[in-house]
Amino acid sequence: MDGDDDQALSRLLQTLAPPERDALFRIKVLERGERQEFTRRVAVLLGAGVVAVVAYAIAATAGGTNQVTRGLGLAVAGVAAAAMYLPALVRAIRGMGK
Amino acid sequence: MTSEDDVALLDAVRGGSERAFNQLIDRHQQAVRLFLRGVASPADAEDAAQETFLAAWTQASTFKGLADVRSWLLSIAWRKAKGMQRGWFRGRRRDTVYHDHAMSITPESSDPADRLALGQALAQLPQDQRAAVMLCLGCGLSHAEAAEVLDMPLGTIKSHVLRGRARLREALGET
Repeated sequence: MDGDDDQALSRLLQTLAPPERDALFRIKVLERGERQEFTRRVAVLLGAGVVAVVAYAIAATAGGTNQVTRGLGLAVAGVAAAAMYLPALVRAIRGMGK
Repeated sequence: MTSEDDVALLDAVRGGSERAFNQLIDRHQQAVRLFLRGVASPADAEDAAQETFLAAWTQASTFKGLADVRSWLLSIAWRKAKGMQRGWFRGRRRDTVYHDHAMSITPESSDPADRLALGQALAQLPQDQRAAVMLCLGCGLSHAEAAEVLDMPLGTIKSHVLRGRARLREALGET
């Protein structure tokens, strides 16, 4: 009796299930991932821009040489590029190892 | 489809294969979304389901192979659902609109009256109980698997399923 009731309840709960194959859902997941990645890259770029401006201002105020400011700019650009592309690079390297 | 296939698939996902990731979604979206539809509002459930698969994509290397891939995905889904549940206003909103949403998410083949009754009955259960019931009765997991997914003691799961089932029957019997 309990088993029959359980089966009926299971069947009822399974009416909540989405279709077994749902391409639209897959597309939504991929789209969301792209959106998140884009947001992350924009945030990194903005952050790098702010850091570069602040670093330049500090270097200029402290009377730093052109080489120092150029070096700081390069370092900021390097860190930003690494933050943006490192995850993709790591995946690509892992993929090549397979 | 075997759990070995799933592990191989996850291994490929770890290596950056988008094709494998698509297959992983196709294989497990139904179970993950069914579970989430039972424990969260439909809007939150879809968000949490998408976030679950994105987390699987970015954190595939954290899969240790102690559970099967479906259980691993369901445990991520559970953490996402709980995360979305946090926040008083969200919780209040979810509780008040749950029934209306429950009507809109189910397949057209099921009876709308049954859907409404089910939505109302599920909404009466505490979230942990709902999760245990959905896993064991909806997704067909064993008590032990559900305990692993929800990170709860086995006895707690058994108790949640027992009580949740009784409350569901009572609520469905009354409608």
